[in-house]
Amino acid sequence: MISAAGIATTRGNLRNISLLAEPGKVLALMGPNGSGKSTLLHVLAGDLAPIAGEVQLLSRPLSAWNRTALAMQRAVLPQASQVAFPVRVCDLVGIGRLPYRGRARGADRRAVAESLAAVGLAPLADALYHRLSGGEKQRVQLARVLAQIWQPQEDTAPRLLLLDEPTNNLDPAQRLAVMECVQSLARRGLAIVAVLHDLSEALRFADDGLMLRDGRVLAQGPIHDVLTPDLIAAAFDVTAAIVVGNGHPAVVTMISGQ
Amino acid sequence: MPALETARTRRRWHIVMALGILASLATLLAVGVGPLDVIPLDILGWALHLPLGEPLSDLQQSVIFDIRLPRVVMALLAGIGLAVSGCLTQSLFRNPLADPGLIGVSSGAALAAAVTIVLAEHLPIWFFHLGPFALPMAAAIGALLATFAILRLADLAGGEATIVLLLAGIGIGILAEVGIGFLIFISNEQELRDLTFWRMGSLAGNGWAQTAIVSIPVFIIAIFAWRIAPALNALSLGDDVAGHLGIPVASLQRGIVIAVAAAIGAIVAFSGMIGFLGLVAPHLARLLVGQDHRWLVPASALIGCVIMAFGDLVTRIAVAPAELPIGLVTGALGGPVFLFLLVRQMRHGTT
Repeated sequence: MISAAGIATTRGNLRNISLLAEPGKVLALMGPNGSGKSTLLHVLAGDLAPIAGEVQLLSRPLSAWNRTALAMQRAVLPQASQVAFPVRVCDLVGIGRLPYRGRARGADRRAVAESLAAVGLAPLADALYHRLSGGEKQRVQLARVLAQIWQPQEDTAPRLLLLDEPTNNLDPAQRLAVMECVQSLARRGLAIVAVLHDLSEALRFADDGLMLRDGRVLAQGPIHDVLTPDLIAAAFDVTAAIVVGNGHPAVVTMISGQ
Repeated sequence: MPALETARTRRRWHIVMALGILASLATLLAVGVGPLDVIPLDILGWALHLPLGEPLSDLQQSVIFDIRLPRVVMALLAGIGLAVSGCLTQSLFRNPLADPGLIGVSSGAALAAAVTIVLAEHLPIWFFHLGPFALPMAAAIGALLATFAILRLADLAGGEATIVLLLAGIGIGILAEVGIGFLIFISNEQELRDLTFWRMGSLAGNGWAQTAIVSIPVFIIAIFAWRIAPALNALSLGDDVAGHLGIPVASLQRGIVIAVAAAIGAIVAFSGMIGFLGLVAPHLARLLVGQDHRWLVPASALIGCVIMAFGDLVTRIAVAPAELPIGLVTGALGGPVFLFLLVRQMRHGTT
C-alpha cells in the first residue's frame, strides 16, 4: 500500500527510515516526544518532502501523484481539529467529498451515510457538531476522512488512512470507542498508520509497530515484538512490564531504578 | 436523510428567492424616492418598456437614469463586494469576526487613496495617465499591502492563532488611520472635504463611469467566491485539512487576498469606507442558510444589496436636504451586531 525507503528529513531529524503499511492492518508509530513520529506521518501524507529516500503509494512515488487523485486514495486525520463555524455533522462529513466534485451526487450521499454508520454515529447526522462530546467529535472527524476515501463496492483498490494521535484528550470510554472504530476499519481493508501515544492502546489495537527514538528506528515489526519490556525501556528510559487483564495486554511503566 | 436534505435545500431556495425579491423592492424604492418622487410602478413600466403606470416625464427620466440609477447600482455593487469580501476574509482568517474594515484592509485602501488626493502634485506623472483608474488602482494597492502586512505579521507571531491575525489587522488599521490623520493635518480646504468623504463613506456623485469601474472587480470576486465555495468549506476546517483534501491552499489564499484587495480598493476609492457591512451581511446570511458557502456566498451578496439599497435611501431622506454618510448608517447597524458576536464567541467559544 504505502512504503517508505531510506527517509531522512531536516525538520524532525529523521534518519534512514523504511516502512511498509499493508491493507487490513494498523501500523502504530510510537516513541518519546520529539522522536519524529509526527514528522514521519507528515512525510507519509506528502506534506513534507524528505531530503533523502522516497515514499511510494501503490508503487508510485508520492511526488508523482496529482493532488486530487492523492486525496481520493489517502486521508489524514489531524491531531486537533478546529471547527470555527457552527455546522451540522452530515455537512462536516460531506466536506470530505470535496475531491469528487462534479461527479455523481448519489455516491456522495452514500459515502456520508456509510461513513457515519461506520463510526457508529448515523443517528447524529443532523446534530450540530459543537454540541457533541469530545469523543463524538473525533469520530465525526474520522467519518469525514472515511468519506474522503470511501469507494463504491466495485472499486477494490486499497485506501490509506493516516491518523495523528486519534485518542488525544479523550476519556477512557471515548478512547476505546475511537480505537475499536479504527481497528474495524482496518479489518474492512483499509491500510491504517497511526501515531499512538498510549502503549497499551497500541498493544491492543495495532497489528504492527514502529518505535522511533531521536529520529531513528529502534524497532519495527509485529506489535508484540516491538512492545517488549526491554525495547520499551530502551525507547522511553523507563522500566516496563506487560500485564494481562480480562484477556487484554497492557503496558505498565515505572521510573527506572525504582 | 435524503428527504430531510431536500427539505433543507427547498428552504434555502425560498430564503434566497425572498432575499432576491427584497433586494429588488429596496432597489426600486431607492431609485424612486428622493426630492423628486417617482412611483415605483411608473419606474418599472419605463425600465421594462411595459404599459405599467404613468409614462415618465423627461425630467424624471433624466433624474432617474443619470443621477439615481448609477448611484443605486453603485450601492448594490458595494453591497455585493463588501459582503462577499467579508465571507472570503472570514474563511481566510477562520474567524467570524474578521471584516475587511475591521482588520485594516479598508484602512490601507483609504490611506493609499488619501495619499493620492493630498500628494497628487508630488506623484509621478505617468500615474495620472491611468485616468479614472488611478484612484482605484492606488486604493487596491493599499489594500493589498495592508493584507500582506497582516499575514506577514501573523506569520512572524506564529501564524495559526486567529486572534494574532485580528490584532495585527487592527494594528495596521491604526497605523493607516494615523497616516490619514497626518494627511488631514497637512491638507487644504478642498482636500479636507474629499478626505472626510473617504473616511465616512458616501455614494454621492457617482455616475456610470465610476459604477462601471467598480463593477469589474466586484463581478470577478463574486464569480471567484462562487467557484471556490466548496473549497472555502474545507478551508474553514484548517489549512492542513484543506491541503489533504487536494486543495492548493497557498495559491487559493493568494487568490482570495488579491480578489478582496481589488474589490475593497475599488469600492473604497469611489464610496469611501463603508464599515461593518462585510461583517454583518455574512453573519445574517449564516443565520439564515447555514455555513455551507455554496449558499452563504449568494445569500450574503443579496443581504449586502438589501442593506445598501435601504442604507442609501436612509442617507438621503433621514436629514434631507442634507445627506448622511452611508458609513454611519452601516456602522450604526454593524457595531451592535459585532458586539453581540463578540459576547457570543466569548461565552460559547464559538459563534
